[in-house]
Amino acid sequence: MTNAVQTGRPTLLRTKRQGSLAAAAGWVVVAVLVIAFPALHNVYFLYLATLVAINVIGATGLNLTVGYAGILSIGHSAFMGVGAYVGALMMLYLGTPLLLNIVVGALAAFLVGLVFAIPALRIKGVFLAVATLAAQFMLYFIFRQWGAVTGGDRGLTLPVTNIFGLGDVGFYYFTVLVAALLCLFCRNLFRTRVGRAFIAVRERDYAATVLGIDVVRTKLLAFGLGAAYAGVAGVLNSMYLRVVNPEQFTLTVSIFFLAAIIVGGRASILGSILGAAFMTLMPEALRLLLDAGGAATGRDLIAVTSPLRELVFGVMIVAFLMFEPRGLMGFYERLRGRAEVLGAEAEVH
Amino acid sequence: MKWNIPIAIAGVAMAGALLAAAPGIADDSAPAAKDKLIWSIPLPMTGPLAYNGNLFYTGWKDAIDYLNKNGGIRGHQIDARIYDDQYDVNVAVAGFKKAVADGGVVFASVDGTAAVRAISPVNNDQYKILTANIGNTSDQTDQTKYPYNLLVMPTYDDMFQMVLKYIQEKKPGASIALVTSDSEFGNDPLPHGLQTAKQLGLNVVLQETTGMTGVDVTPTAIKLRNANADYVIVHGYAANVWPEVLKLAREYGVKSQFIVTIVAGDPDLIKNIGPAADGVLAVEPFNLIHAGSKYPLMQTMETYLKNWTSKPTPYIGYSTLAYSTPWAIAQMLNQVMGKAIDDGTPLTGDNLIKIAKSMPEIDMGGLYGDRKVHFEDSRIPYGIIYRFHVTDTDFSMTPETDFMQVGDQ
Repeated sequence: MTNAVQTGRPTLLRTKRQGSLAAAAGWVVVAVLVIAFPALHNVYFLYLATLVAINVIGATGLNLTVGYAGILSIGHSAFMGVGAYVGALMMLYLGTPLLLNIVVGALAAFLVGLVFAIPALRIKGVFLAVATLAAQFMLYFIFRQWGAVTGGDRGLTLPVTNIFGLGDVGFYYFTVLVAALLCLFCRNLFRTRVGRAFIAVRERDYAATVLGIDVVRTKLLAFGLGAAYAGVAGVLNSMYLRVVNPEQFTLTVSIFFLAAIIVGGRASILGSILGAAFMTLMPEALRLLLDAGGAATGRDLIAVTSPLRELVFGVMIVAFLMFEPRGLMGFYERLRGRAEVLGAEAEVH
Repeated sequence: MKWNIPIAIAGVAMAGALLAAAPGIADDSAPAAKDKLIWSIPLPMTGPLAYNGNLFYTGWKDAIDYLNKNGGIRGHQIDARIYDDQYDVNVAVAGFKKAVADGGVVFASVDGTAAVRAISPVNNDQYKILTANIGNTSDQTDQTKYPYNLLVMPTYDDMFQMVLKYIQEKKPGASIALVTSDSEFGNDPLPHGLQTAKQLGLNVVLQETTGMTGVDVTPTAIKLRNANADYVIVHGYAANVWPEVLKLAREYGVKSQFIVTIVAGDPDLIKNIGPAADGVLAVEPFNLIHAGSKYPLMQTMETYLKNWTSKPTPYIGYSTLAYSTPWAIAQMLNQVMGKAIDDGTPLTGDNLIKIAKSMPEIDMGGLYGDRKVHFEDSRIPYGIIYRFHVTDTDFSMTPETDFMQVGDQ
């Protein structure tokens, strides 16, 4: 230990340099994996990967509102719907390109989000949750009943979006790029005064006011930004599936995103990514594993394995809530802490 | 050693990919038996329609078992890839993509209206596989949107038309009350139904919409009493809400003739309602009476039904829509794919849909009674109306009409 103290500064520099190199290497690995993924030539995996990327955007948006700003929302999927319908209508009637549809869809969701953020200025917690539930049902009602515009229950069918002439592969690359940029934006946001104001308001809005933070503006912005992210996810989802209908934006979908950030970790970008990946992939993985297990026994077990999968998935979520309320991010932090301790011990010895 | 976020993401991505890939790769590498016909079959084994999903599951299992035991289709055994789609569109699309990724699939069943809308665009452009939906929304007759999809049943519009024509023949100028659920299922046939009622000179005196589940039905029953209609058409429900409407209406002295559609006319459900359901009529796509049937296929189905030990309610001589639908699809595929094989035609969606639509008479083995049916705008527009006889101790159902074809009533 004495040696380490005596050589503390060079050791710290070396550790930082190693950390930077490891980070760079890590990003290279991520980039290679992402770029090489379509080489699997499997439309199923590509579909799941694209879905994960879309859900990462949605979960990051909700985490921005719920995790960072502390504004509980259970109407997230309705804002996805706003983006999806606006993007779809622009595509159908104006023939606008995907990028513009995303921008306008996000803007529309942002503005609608601002409207439904107004209750957040006066109420908190479970009361606010009920208010956002109203947003969910009101928007869902509009999606269903404004048939002349939204197509009602039948919704809208969209033409194919062929990015770079690569079909599904192009859409995958584009979605991953958008997801990465939005995660980066979110990460940098919390290095700015605006982002830190979100956290200050979450912790104690009276104290934030004393610090000179405009609480009203901050809450509106946090809710609006979360909705805008949902809008982007909505546009991408509709363009990918080439269909928009109200059943894609139900309360269940809002709960899905809420569960994603609880499982992944609140107030964490990585938590949003991990949570979205977990919630999207785990039911599929469980299904495949249980079906494969059933097939290995040579018996027809689907009637048993299907409810079993639901049970296992439910137990996993409850286990998170009970044993690691910080979610997958908590696991990651624990592993990281353990690794740093081991690293420091290695330096000492 | 220091942990980094990108490394963590990479790790999770790799783990996820490997986890998801493991069984899939195993499927890919498995030697595919060339003579097998692969059918992809998603079912709502869990989720909101799990009860029906399990009935469908047994129907598919039995129908395919029967086909395979009888030599398959022209000697080709059926390899059914059944999976649970939770009645979730994203999961349904994932399952469809997995089916096409695994390769060799010649038919894909589709679990409901929302799923067929999500799958059709990509199927139309890329995969062109024959599909058959188990939902009945009327837009499925749109050939431009669903060029590869078949419906072995009538649409909701068709069923409404059959019911309204029946009423007009029984009592010209009759008054009608419509009770529908506030769902796509419930709303779908209303525009066409109202227009048809007007054309037939029927008087719609009440249009009432309720939730599909868990609502207080007292206001509906009171409105039915006040409307005092000759007929009450109930549409857009499964096992919930409408039985309470019926029971309460009867308690309030409503004498109207109730007519229910499709899923609400499940014999097991009607039997459980009890004497209040006595005399209720139901429009159904298939022949659901197996006891004493003269048709060999219906007798075979009865044998399977009798051997279905885990059936939620004991077999009482009748099938359910969910059990019979897979049999109907399997019968249709048997003939369409059989003809394609006879002709030496590849089993592509384009070829199969062409054959299906060109067959003037498809023998459904008694599922449509004596009728030899055919496709019109991708659906089979035939149906029958049954009358239920229910007491505290006894239950039976009898055909109120012959099998009807929309348009020739």
